[in-house]
This record gives sequence, structure tokens and C-alpha cells, in this order.
Amino acid sequence: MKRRISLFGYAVITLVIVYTIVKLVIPRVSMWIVHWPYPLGVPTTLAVIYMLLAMIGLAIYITMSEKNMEEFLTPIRNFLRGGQPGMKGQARLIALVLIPGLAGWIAYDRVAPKIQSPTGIRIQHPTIPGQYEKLINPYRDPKEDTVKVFIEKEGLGAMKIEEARALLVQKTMAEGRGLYQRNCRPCHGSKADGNGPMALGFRLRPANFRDPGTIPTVVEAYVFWRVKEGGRGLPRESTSWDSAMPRWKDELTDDQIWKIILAEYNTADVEPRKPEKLE
Amino acid sequence: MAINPLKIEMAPGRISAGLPILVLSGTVLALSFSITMAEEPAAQAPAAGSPEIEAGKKIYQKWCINCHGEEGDGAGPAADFLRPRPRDFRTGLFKIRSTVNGQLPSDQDLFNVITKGMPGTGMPRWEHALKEPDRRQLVPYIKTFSRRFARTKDAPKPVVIGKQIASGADSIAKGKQLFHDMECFKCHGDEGRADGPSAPELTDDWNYPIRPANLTKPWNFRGGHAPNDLYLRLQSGISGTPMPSFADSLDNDKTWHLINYIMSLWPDPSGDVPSLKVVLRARRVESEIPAKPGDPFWLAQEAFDFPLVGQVIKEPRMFTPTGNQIEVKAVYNDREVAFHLTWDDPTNSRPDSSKGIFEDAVAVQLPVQIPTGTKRPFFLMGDPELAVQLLRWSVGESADGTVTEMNGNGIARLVAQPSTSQETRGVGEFKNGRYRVVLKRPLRTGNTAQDIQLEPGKFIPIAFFAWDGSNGETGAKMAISHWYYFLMEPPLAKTVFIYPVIGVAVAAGLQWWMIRRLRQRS
Ligand code: HEC
Repeated sequence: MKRRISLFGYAVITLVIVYTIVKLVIPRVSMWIVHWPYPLGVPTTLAVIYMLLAMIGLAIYITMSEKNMEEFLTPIRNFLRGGQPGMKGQARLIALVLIPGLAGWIAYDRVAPKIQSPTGIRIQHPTIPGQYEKLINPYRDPKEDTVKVFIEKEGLGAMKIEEARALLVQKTMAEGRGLYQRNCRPCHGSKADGNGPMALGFRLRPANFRDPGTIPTVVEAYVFWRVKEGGRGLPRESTSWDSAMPRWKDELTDDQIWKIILAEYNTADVEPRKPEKLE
Repeated sequence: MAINPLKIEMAPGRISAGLPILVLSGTVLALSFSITMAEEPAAQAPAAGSPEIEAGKKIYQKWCINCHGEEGDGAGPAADFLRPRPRDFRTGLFKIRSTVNGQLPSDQDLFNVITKGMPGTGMPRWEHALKEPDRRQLVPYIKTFSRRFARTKDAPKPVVIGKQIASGADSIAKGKQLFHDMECFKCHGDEGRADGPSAPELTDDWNYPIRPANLTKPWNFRGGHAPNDLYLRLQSGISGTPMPSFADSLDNDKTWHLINYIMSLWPDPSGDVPSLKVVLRARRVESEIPAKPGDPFWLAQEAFDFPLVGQVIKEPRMFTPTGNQIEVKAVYNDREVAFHLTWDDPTNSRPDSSKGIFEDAVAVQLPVQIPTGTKRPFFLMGDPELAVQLLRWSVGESADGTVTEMNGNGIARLVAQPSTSQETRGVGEFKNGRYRVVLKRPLRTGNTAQDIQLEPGKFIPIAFFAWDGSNGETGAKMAISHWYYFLMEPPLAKTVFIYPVIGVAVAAGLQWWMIRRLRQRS
């Protein structure tokens, strides 16, 4: 029985398929599995191992019988020996020139210097310093005393506590929004999406607060620390030298910062992480 | 009987009378106009308090008041940090319109601005943050701030965009002539860089200073940079600003010639912001490096663009800097390195304390020590631990400008080096709203404590700063960049060529040997 495609042809097709799987299919599937926005490339060493395995498999199959070996080698021998008529003969000549050329190109590609700027890893959320850990936002759910003071100050008289509390939150929120738009908008944007007018100037981009990986994953105390101490308060593994985030303790009071934080979550349409209950 | 469909459109009250005439005349185009007209409600605002208005108000109060103000007066708490200032809705003057000169914008115009934002200003693109119905809901509410909408019963008349004329040398030349004849250069400058003689005095209808558009940076055009956008701006003007409508003087052909000329000033026909590169590469040359920025040598060197933004990290802050981009070219030879810097600035400012004008300046920032790990000085002029070096050029007293080498351990700790260690030389020139400066420095110097010792093949952090003295920029008030990388390309090692040659020889030899053996056997 004679196959339509020679064993040599099958070997080539198999390698092409394996290569496509490694280069295209796996990155896409893994992107889908881990919910990542970009395809995840297979590391080069791993890709080389996959390809080697495929080649070993093919080699074992081919060398298993004399007949297979013969079938595999015949097209190669015919190609090398030459004597094909017309077009085929010319194609053979071109291939004979291209193969050494390819070898040279691969060698060049290996040794030529490549421009690839250094990359480093950055820890976005290092551990919060102890003194900040237990703070809570006094404006998110104001205590009864605070509300009473508010009622008194605003002359709300007989207003129910709950009603006054809502009013107080609303008022702080408005103040916070104003402060946010003035101070944070240039970088973090009117919509808290990290796209303020200055944002494009910073390679370490201002945080996008709508991204679940930023302020929604941390407690408000964490945000308070970050706003107060800014980029400079970050440890080394968080590349403090690249952070444009100002150190706001120089210019804003703690009160103002808490109000901004209330408004920041609200502007971004996200909720802070709940602090763990302390035993 | 010739009927001008536009004339009829002016008065919707006449439409019913006009319709049979139009049908008779068989003008299909006119018919389609009148039908859309008849269906579209007049541009008057719905009554206050209606559910439609209340819904828009709620969205407005959440998202818009901090700039545009609760009363729509453009005086929210953030307004002072914005230039151009937020729109004052009470006047009913809107910049970006598709309607003829002097008329109100269409609802779609307002919706488009909310959706796409206004590039180069504080007005963001709301496309993703607000859903489409919410953005539509805002339109009727915004219209309540000005009585013009309620008073105007007729729908605004759209500008009709005529047949586009393809660009070409001939059309561009005609456009250039028109640019001169219509005196566009008086504000926009001879080469379009917003440096015309009238530019510094321009104010808007609210008496705030306003700048003409830099026509070479279309990605900042407020109403977009598609050819049709430009057509609308030329034909309908930009309300509330000194930019007039040219509807009376430019017919369709002339409008397109002018547009083609403007587009010929762009660095790239797409008009999109130049793509950002992270590494500034310096080629090695064997010759002397020309000191003059106008030398043709520099035209042949690869250009790298870096964005600049206001310094808003520390007081005193600069929210509205002039510089928004700097183009850098770099080369080196066996002795020295040279940076060729180009940036736009509408005025050549020399210090004048009586007018509050400071000197224009630019600086290249490098770390004093080439970092070995990831750690490097703070990108804004260093930190107490790690110092940076600045090569600063300023307009100065002499024709070529003044160059100063400085060291920084923070924005407030910036010191000029002693005169014995000033090794950088620089030549700058200002022409047509653009500075070009060449800075040259030896690769290695005697002052290793304060000067960076440059080495080919190393990725060296680099940053740029610019000051526009007429814009109050001095000291910390400036335009800044983040850290990028500077790489002096090392000369190619010989082995780079030897290995490929060996590769070719081995492969060819092997092939030849196999062919010979096969032929011998058969
Ligand atoms: C000059 C630009 C700039 C301004 C102004 C600015 N930020 Fe930032 N901010 C940044 C940058 C850049 C980052 C990312 C780097 C980092 O985490 O330090 C950041 C990060 C943050 C983070 C950390 C988010 C996270 O999940 O890691 C918070 C919180 C934050 N900013 C809040 C604020 C608040 C609140 C204001 C206004 C009071 C503000 N920022 C003003 C640039 C700025």
C-alpha cells in the first residue's frame, strides 16, 4: 500500500502542528483558563523541550522498521541527488542556497546584540506598616456621637439619627469629591480610571481605581497609608523611585484624606475590602 | 425654480408649505433634509422639573459639577487647575459644533463631546465610564443652563460638507497661500506652532487668556482631527474663542485646500499621537559631531519622542504647562556624547521680573551613578540617597544660550556644579515657535563624584524637563517626563559576523558532501 503523502511529509506536518500548538493554542487556552487579557506565551525553554519530545517521538517511529526508514529517507535522497526536470530542478537549487542561508541567519540572530530594556518586577501592594493597620474611616459610618454633634452644629433639631447620618455622609462625600477632583484628578482622572491628563507622562501609571486589582482589594486603612505617605513611603520592592504618587501628608490633613477616600471609592464605583474581625 | 434646501431649513414653520414645492421640484436631497427636519423636535429644552431633566441632573451632579459647577457656570472647585477652563454653560456658546456659524450646537454635537471628550483639555472621554443612555440624558439638562436653547425654536442648521478634494502638491500649495491670505499665521504662526504675533494677547469671551491650536499636533485638536472635523471648525468657527468662521470667505474647494495644507504640517498623516518609545538609542559616529542644531547632520539621525506633563507631585505645582512633548536625537563618538532636543514653545522668553516672565529652559537628567540593579534615583530630580545630574540649557544672555551642569538630591535640593566642573557645551536656537538645542558633553570627566561616566552598552535612566518662562514656569513649576532609558549602541563585535559565516560554511559543506556521496553511490 502506498501512502499519498510520504513519511517524510507526515514528519514535517507533525512538527508544524506541534509548533502551532505550542505557539498559538497553548497561550490562548491558558489566557482563557487564568482570565488574563493577553495570550500567555510558553517560555522558550519549555517550547524547545516540547519540540524535542515531538522530534524524538518521530525518530523512534521512523527507525522502528527498515521500511519506515527507507520511506523517510527516499525523498531526502532524491532531493539531494538532483536531476529533477524543469521547475522542480530550479526549486531544488533555490532550497540548496536557502538552507545554508538559514543556518547563517540563525547564527546571526543568536549573537547579534538585542535592544531590550531591563524589566523588573514590582510588588504593587506591600505590607501595610503597623501603625496604619487598625485605622478605620470615621466618615464611612459615623458614630452616634459624631452624628449628634452634626445635628447640633447644623441646627437640625428633631431630625432622626439615621436620617442625619445619611445627610452627614452625603455632605462629606460632596466635600471629598471636590478634594478628589482638585488633587487627584490630574493623574487618576475624573472617573478614577487612572486616565487623568497627566497620566500618560508616567511610565508607572497612576492606579486605575476601577480595576479590581487596586483599591477594591485593600482595606481603607491601606489606602490611607498610601495617600498619606505617597510613592516615597513604598519599600524598595515596590520601586518607590518610579512612583509619581505624591506624599499628601505635606498638604492634606488626615480628615481631608479620609473624605477623599470615601469619595475615591464612590467615584470608582467600587467598595473597599472589609477589615477582618479582630478576636 | 431653484430651491435652496438650506434656506428652507431655517424656518421649520414654513416646512409644510415648502414640502409640496420641494416634491414638485424633485430635489431628492432637499426632500430628505426636510423630512429629518420635520421629525426632529425643535432645539428647545424640555421644561425644568420634568423627569427627563431630573434624571440628567442626577448624573450631572455626580460627575460634572466639580469642574462645570452646580450652576453650570464653569466654576467648580477644580476649575482653576484647568486650562482651557471648563465650559460655562450659561452662555450657550459651545466650541465644537456641526452647525453653521452663530447657531446653537445640535444635541448630537453635545452628546459627541461628552462621549469623546476634548483632547488636550481636562474634559475626559466619558464613553466607558457612563452608559450611552446616561450620556444622552445629560444633554437636555445641560441645555437648561442657557436660555438661548429655550428661546430658539428652530433646530440648528448643519454645515453641509462638500465633496472632498484629495491632497496633492497643488492643493497644498493653494492651501498654503490661503493660510497666508486669510491671515491664519497671525495666531497659528508661520509654521503652525501657535506662535503668531497675536497669539500672546488672545482672550476668550470670558476674558481668560487662550492659546491658538498648535496645528502640528493634531492629536490635541479639541474636536478631533478627521478631515471632516477640520472642515466643520473652519466653516462654523469655535464659539467663545477668537477662532472665527470662514464660511463667508472659503468655499468648499478652498476649505479643502486649507485642510490639506494643515494636514501637511503633521508629523504623521494619521494625526495620531507619536508612538512612545522607551529606549533613546545613540548611534556611534566616527566624525566630529556638529554643534549647531540646524546642521543637516541632525536631519539624518533617528528621532525619539517623549511625552511631557505638568509637575503636579510637589508644591509649587504646574497644572497647565506649555511643553507636552520633546523630540530627542542622540549620537556619540570616541570622546563625547551629544543630545539634540526639539520642543515647541510659542514665545522666546527672556527673564523680565516686571512682567513676571522667566527664562525658557530645558534639561536632560541622568543618574550620577549608572544603576547596577533596579534601584535608581527618584525620577523627579533625585532623592537624598541617590543624586542625579542635570544638563540644563537656558535662553540666558548670549546668543547660543547658557548651559549649566547641576546636581539634584530632590526637587528642592538642586545645586549648580563649580565652574571648574562645567564641561557641557550647548547651542540653542528659536524659530517659528520651536526650540532646537544641541548639548555636548565628554563621555568621561575628572569629576567622578558629581558627573556620570557614560558607558556604551549600558541602559542608563534618562529624563527630560522643560520650562516656558512666559507661562510662569520656573523652578519646580515645569513640564517633566518620567525615566526612560538611554543606550549608546556599542560598536558591533567582530564575532557577530564570524559566527554566521561559519554557520553558512558548515551547512553548505555538509550539503555538498552528502550530494557527492549520494551521486557516487548511485
Ligand atoms: C502626580 C500624579 C498623582 C497624583 C496627583 C495622585 N496620584 Fe495616586 N498614584 C499615582 C501613581 C503613579 C500611582 C501608582 C504607583 C504607586 O502605587 O505609588 C498612584 C497610586 C495610588 C494609590 C495606590 C493604589 C493601589 O492599589 O496600589 C492610591 C490609593 C492613590 N494613588 C490615591 C491617590 C489619591 C487619593 C490622590 C489625591 C489626593 C492621588 N492618588 C493623587 C499618581 C498620582
